[in-house]
Amino acid sequence: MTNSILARRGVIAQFLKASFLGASFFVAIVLILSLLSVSSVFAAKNDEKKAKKSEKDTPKLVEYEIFNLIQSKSIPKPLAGKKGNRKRGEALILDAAKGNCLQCHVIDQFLVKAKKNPDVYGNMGEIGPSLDGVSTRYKESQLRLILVNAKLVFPETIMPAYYRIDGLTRVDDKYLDKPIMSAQDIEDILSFLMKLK
Amino acid sequence: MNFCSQQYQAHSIKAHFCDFAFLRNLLAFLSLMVVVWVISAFIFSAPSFAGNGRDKSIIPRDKTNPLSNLWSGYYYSTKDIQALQKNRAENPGFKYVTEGAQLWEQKTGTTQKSCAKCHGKPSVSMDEAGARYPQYYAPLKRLINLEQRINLCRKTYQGAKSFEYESKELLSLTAFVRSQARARPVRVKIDGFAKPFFEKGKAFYYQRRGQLDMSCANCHENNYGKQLRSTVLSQGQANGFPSYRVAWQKIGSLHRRFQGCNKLVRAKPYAYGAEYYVNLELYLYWRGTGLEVETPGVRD
Ligand code: HEC
Ligand code: HEC
Ligand code: HEC
Repeated sequence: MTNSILARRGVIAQFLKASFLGASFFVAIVLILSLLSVSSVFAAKNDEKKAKKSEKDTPKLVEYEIFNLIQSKSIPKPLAGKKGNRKRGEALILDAAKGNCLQCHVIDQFLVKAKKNPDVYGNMGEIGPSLDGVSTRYKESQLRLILVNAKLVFPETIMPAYYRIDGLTRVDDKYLDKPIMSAQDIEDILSFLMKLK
Repeated sequence: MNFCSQQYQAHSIKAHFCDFAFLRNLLAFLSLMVVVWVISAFIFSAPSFAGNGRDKSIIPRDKTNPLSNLWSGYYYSTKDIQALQKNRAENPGFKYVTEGAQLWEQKTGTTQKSCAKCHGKPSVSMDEAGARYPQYYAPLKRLINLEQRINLCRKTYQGAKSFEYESKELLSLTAFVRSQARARPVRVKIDGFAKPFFEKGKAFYYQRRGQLDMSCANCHENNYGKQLRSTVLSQGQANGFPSYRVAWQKIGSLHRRFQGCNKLVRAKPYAYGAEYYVNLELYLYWRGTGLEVETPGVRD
């Protein structure tokens, strides 16, 4: 009788010992880990302090505005002296075989029309920036240049040069020596873009 | 067990090892430590947990790979298309694989030998060739892809006419052979004799072409994951080919896809099997090193 009680006590004592051992190991590990992270936080704080100190020593930078160098590049005169037609311009922007601008750009005013006619206006691409407000960011002469050959402004761009036939590689016979769009087309699209406030 | 027989006193040291509670607690402690270890390993070395390119990206081992994360075209497909590829019974590409299996057994040519006659069990003999082609072929002093390797066997070993590129037979056999390497990571050889061809493939990849003047990189390296009108651009990986395309209503080769992407930018495409395309194929497979072979892939 007493023997079995003793044995049971022994079991309980063992249990407590072992779990104490386990818990203390665990606490030790957690302590080490947290010490590590605390020390890294301290290091970061130190860096911050140093940074703050050097801030006092050096003169402060005041915000400034960069005037885009792009402004120096432009085509001031209409291509072939053509006058743009805004309605035609819109159709060309939508036309997958011509401007196909929606492949890469979003134009907000089409979002509403997209609900009724998703095939024409829907699924606008997200490769390039939204074209809303381009007329406030660029002058007409600059937009003309971007349409003619966007690479003169954004050298690495994916955007096609719409009025260019030289310096191209392995153009399909069907399109050889032809620009993607005519001078009239470019001016039409331009007159549409100039209305995008 | 012997050492736990009754002869030890309740409080002797050896008895502790026989104590059930002690063992249980030791076990609990050890498993706790394992959990801590696993969690910390997970936190500190997350990238070493390899993905498959379908729901988790793969970090390329080769630091010269311009892509920092590799994604199979599967990842950019719609849920419906993904389900089609995943389900062997519904994947329309497997119809071609089955036909390829029949061609594998068929005796043909002047020698009346089947592929099986020389190569035996495809799951053994062709278990990794599909992950390794294109490769350098010394007799021709250039690269050959899997299609061309199969046609070489037709001509030289079976004494039969080579299959036309993009014919149903060649597509089926290629899909069959490559599908034997399904789930194996792509691993092509680009050094040694293959080096100059690899470099040519790379130059092709970055060459702007066509009236729209775009390179493969413009779409598949700089803009993957973004919407190009109604389609999401993928990384243009080759690991699912030959792939079934809903738009084609059949299976098609990688070279057919190359032609399609060339035409997309209004460039003059090359012929199927052209050396330019085989070099490009090697370069493309290298970009996807580590992605699993998924032949037959399904795309829209
Ligand atoms: C293949 C994709 C693509 C197509 C098609 C495309 N663009 Fe672009 N476009 C871009 C990208 C990308 C940029 C951003 C410039 C860069 O690459 O850094 C851009 C920039 C522009 C900009 C300058 C916008 C700004 O806010 O700086 C204008 C304007 C523009 N595009 C107009 C057009 C028009 C009009 C069309 C159709 C005739 C068109 N784009 C077709 C990709 C495209
Ligand atoms: C008469 C025997 C023979 C027949 C028939 C034959 N092959 Fe081969 N095959 C070979 C040999 C030998 C090689 C080794 C490569 C070489 O020729 O350099 C080979 C290589 C290959 C390889 C490349 C394997 C690797 O690991 O690189 C493939 C793939 C292949 N054969 C497919 C086929 C297919 C498909 C058929 C049926 C259309 C076929 N072979 C018929 C003998 C044969
Ligand atoms: C105008 C953009 C564009 C260009 C440039 C382009 N592609 Fe594609 N490519 C696509 C589209 C769109 C798809 C279909 C959707 C997808 O998988 O990205 C595609 C698909 C692919 C696929 C199939 C991917 C798969 O998982 O099934 C491959 C391979 C491919 N392209 C390779 C190339 C190569 C090589 C080049 C250069 C010769 C190239 N592409 C140039 C737009 C382009």
